[in-house]
Amino acid sequence: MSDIVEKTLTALPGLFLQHQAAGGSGVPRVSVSSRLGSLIRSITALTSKHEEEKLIQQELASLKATVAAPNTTLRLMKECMVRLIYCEMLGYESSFGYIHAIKLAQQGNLLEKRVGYLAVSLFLHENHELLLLLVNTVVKDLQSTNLVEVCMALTIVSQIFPREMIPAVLPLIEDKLQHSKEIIRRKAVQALYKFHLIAPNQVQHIHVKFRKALCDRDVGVMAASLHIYLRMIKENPSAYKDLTGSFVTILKQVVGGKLPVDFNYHSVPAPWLQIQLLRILGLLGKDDPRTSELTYDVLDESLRRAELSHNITYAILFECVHTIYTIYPKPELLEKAARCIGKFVLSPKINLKYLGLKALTYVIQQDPNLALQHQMTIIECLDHPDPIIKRETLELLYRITNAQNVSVIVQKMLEYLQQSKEEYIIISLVGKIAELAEKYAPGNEWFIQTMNAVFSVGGDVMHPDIPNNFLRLLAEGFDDENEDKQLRLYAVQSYLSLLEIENALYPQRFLQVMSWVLGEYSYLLDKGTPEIIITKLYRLLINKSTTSETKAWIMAAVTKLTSQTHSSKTVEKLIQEFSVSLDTCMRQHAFELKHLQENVELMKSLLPVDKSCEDLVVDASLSFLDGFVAEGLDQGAAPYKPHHQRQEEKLSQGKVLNFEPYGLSFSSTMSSSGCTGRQSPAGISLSSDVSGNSAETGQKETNSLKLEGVKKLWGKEGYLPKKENKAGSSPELQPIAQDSTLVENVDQMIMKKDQSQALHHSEEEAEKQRLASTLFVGLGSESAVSLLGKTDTVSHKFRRKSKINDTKNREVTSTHNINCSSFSPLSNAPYEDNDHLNSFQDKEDIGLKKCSLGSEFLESGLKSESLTELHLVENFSACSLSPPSLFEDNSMEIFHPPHPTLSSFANEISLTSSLLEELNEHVHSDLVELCNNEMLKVSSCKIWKDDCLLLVWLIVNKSSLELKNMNLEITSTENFKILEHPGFCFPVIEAESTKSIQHHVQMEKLFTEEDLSGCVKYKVEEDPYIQLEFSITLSLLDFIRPMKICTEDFGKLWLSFANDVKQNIKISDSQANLPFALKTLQQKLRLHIVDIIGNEGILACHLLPSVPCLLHLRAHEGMAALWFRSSCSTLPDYLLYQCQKVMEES
Amino acid sequence: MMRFMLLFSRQGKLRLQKWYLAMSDKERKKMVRELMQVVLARKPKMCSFLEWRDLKVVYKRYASLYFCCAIEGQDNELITLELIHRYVELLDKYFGSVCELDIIFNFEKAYFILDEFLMGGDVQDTSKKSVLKAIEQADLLQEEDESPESAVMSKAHWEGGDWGGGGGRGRCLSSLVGGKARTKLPHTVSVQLLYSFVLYPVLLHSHLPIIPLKGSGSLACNTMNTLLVFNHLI
Repeated sequence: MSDIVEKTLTALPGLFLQHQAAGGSGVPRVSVSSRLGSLIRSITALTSKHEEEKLIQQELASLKATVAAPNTTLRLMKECMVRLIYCEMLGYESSFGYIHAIKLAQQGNLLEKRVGYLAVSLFLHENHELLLLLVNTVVKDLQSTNLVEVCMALTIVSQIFPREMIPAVLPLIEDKLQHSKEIIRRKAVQALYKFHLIAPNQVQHIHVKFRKALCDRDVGVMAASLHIYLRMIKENPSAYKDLTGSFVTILKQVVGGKLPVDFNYHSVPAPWLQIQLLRILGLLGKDDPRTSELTYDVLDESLRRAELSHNITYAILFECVHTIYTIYPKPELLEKAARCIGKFVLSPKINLKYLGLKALTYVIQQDPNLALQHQMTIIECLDHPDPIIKRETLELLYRITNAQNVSVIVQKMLEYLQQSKEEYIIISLVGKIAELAEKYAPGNEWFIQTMNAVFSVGGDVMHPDIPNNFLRLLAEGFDDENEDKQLRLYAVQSYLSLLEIENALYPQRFLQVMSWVLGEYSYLLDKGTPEIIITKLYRLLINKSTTSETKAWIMAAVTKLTSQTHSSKTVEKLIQEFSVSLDTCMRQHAFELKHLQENVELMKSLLPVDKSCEDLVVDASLSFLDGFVAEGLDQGAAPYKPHHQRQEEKLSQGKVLNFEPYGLSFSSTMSSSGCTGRQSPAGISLSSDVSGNSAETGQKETNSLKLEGVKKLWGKEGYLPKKENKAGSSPELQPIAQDSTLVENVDQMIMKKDQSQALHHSEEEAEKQRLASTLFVGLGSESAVSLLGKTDTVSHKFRRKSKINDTKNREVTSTHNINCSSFSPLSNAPYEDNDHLNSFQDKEDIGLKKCSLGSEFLESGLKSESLTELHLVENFSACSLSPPSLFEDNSMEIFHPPHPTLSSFANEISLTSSLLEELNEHVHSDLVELCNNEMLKVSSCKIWKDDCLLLVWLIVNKSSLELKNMNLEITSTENFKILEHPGFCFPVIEAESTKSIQHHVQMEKLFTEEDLSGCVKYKVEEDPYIQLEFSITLSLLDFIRPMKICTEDFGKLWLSFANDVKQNIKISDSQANLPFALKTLQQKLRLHIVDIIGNEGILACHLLPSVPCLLHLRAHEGMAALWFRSSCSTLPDYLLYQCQKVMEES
Repeated sequence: MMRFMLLFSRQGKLRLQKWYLAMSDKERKKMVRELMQVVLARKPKMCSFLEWRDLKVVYKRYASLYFCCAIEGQDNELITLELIHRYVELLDKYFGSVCELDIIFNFEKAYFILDEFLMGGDVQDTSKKSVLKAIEQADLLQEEDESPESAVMSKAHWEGGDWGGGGGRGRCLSSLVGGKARTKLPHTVSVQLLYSFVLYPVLLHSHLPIIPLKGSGSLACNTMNTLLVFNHLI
């Protein structure tokens, strides 16, 4: 038998060739692809993968020869393409044919073209370079009179088209929107949809045409346009609210069965269309009661029409429910939707059950009762054999987790994790478990055990935030010192016992966590010396599977522990071993450890016990090297310039050599401070410490948790005193459910069930209910309480402390520390002032507090008020005008109030100035009229006080009547802070009199120009209130004040600021004169000119209340290089903008 | 929006792939391999939806062929399932009681139908009639060109003849070597018989009609469409 088979098999190919000859081009199924057929058959007959590979390679070789041959007909080429596609599908490389596919699409007749296009769409991807060659063909086919050709071109365009070539075909496709054949119109819309996806701004101008497509008489075209609308509405729902009516009408027609029967699918009218529309309506109605109102009817109708008989109606129902829960809620509909969800959940069909769970997952937060209704089903799903159902159930449980059911839910999740192998699942689930454990952990032991499980399972695939957060939690602790200790102790113990196990392999991340915790907190152990732990760590260190990153962590832990012991043999051994390690990093660590060990005192001060949370004072300016630098400078070394500065100089100076000595500005500050100020290095380092900047970085460091003890070597003076105030308000941990109450609950529930359903409960059932009661406990609602008899208490134990409060405390203490430790050497202010400064800062907003130095300057400025005054007047002489000068012609921009006559205005001003003595004392703007009517006029004036901006409102009663209940209110915005109460009330304003109100304004958020608006309300006799609205524009410049510092201080400050912005701007000839340019800046921006050295100038200012900003300006060949530095990251940008404006104007 | 669609056999052989999102060749191959493994490992009574990587996978098995679509998280799974079914209906109508072999040997046709039905990952036309009309329009040219026998006709022919191994097998073999012209040649017959004996075991799973006929083997083929509906309701 077998040899007969063999013989016939060998004869087969011959027979087939014969057919072809005999039947000519007989039957499509065979002859068209007969070569393909034989290929497929021979592949099927093969037994091994290797044989297949050989065969395909042969085939490819012959194909390659055929397609490359010049005499290959297009018809043969078509056949080759089909075979190529097949080979490619099997996973073999066939890129040699790509170009021929394009050629075929270009040259072939219709049939060949079709295959050519197909091959192109299958072979090439969107960014393939060969795709450009297709553009011409597409353009040609789009212009063809043959409908089939046009269709093909549109099809290929909607599948794959190079983005940059869209303009070439766009007009042609636009024309097709008016084509008489609906299939062409439809495909054109689809092609435009594709364009909208890949290059939305290129089709923006044809949005109107989409509307036309939406109103097309053909359903297919209309349906196609919905894709575009869905996308556009997703991006910007508010722009298409007006179309809601149309969509609702269309949906009504569809639901009502007005479409051609063709579009029915299993006797349901156009389900795809319905779902598309429901989705659009959901997007439109979200958070919008008015739009939602329009859709209620049709949604109700859809729910009603969808009779449950078929999958497709379930699909529509599901979308309907989704929409109902997305839009502005309507109780009636919600009720119906909830019933629908019930149908899904209770369905025996597994697909529907899955969708039911999915629906529950997203409505559960709105409606927790729903979960209670279906709790038994959910429990069943939890043990479902299909992992997908299980996972969806866990997702659902994750959403309803609270402090009382957390342990059960997390346990279920861990069980699932143990079975799952897929990386994506592990990552997401591990993240969720960690989050829940952190939020709701019922106790120390549980928390550590759970996290151990997370680390062991999640291993090295989990998100790096998880171990970081965990360690931070341990380190920062909670409110109760004792609790913290216990938690840490428990962690140490559990890790030690884990390390006890022989040959246990832990993920690297877990080892890192362990080594950090052991290094930090093993001192809490009563028994056992560091020696034992060091030995354990050492064993890890020499383990081959430990990565070098982990080794660094372990080494850091060993270093910490070494400081706690006297002498350790293991450490000696370790040092010896790793001093010759091939890993340079390890070698360095070993050397560091060695040297530290020799100096016990230093080591102890560097590595104090339990100080991981304290802020590190990093001497960012490396001031301890200042002496070295000064020495170098004295010997004639060039001062250091940062990389970007060097580069810039290179660029601006071109190739010309600079023979002049470099301008003194920096070398002088450096060397002078180097020689004179260096005696007190603390003073220098202070400049970096004091600046808000370092406070910021310090905070960053705590956020990212300084884990490597080795780094602490760079701390200048060790650690700041331990932070004292830990006043927290988190409630104590509530005792978790007692067993007795639990049993009670179950009993209650069973009773209830018995009454209502008269069900007989088996043991198993009871077990399930027990599980249910533990799972659904504390789902916040009355029914939950009544059903389960428990109050909802949330434990905040492991929730991180409220962050703002925390940082505030921290920041205050840190500034405090800095001030105490090293403020005095620099500032002239007496030491006692610091307290005052602190209290001052305490009051300030956090963001502004960062800058203690600025406020220090401010304060010193205040002290020498009279002096400042003098300067101010001098500085502002050009931009500020005293009232009389109003009538003079001057170059500055002054707002001339248009309405009132001059005399009355002058009168008013004199009145004003008499009213406001401050006007004479301070620099101020002119009176600007804000609003008026026949009765009343409101004008205002800005007074630029040193410490704030004072807005003075003048309310003039022009009439001869009394104005009563006069109210002035300033609208509060996020940009401003008004120190006084923003409203003001005068019971009466007499006829023809003037009242004034003052407001101190502070800037809350940086801006260039913002309007401060308000309104005035008043009554005339018994008439109703009359309201007048006004607004005044405040600019950033209103809040900028000069900062008077000397060159030396400038140098120090400059180094301490991290945020810098550089920009070259063109300056006009008149400004080429540097002093003149600086003068302009001084006058218009209120900058203080600190110094002018050669062609460089330095200026300083601060933003009220105390954010300093420094400017370095260098003029060079019609260009000015501006270089801002500030402690605030955004201020330089704003100032730069102002500078540019000023420079352009003048 | 659909990300991609795959058709593969129970043996893990890819039969058709359509990608609606630009992706490198290597990535594609990896995804196909992994996804096939996952789907093939699932038991028949399990849920048709899968969460796989960051995607949702909707799959359905028709005879020996798996249809598998990857969609985005917010898409509707059920309607995707129906989309697969509509595609199968289209194939069935075009080929006439379609089986895996039809798709293997005429995969380019299957692609054409898919392109007419889905465009760029979204449903283009849900009307069965207009999809097939568009395909037939293009096919007409082919007929002029090669004067073939239409798929339906060949089907009708093979329903009449019963080749050895019983109705079912004969009908399906029609898609392998079927053709009126050749039935007259005696050796063709032998070839077909040969196929039914030699290759049949190999192609065992590929020859079954995709739309499963549960306990209705004796029903004639032209009732297939009513059966489709019927079967779907079960």
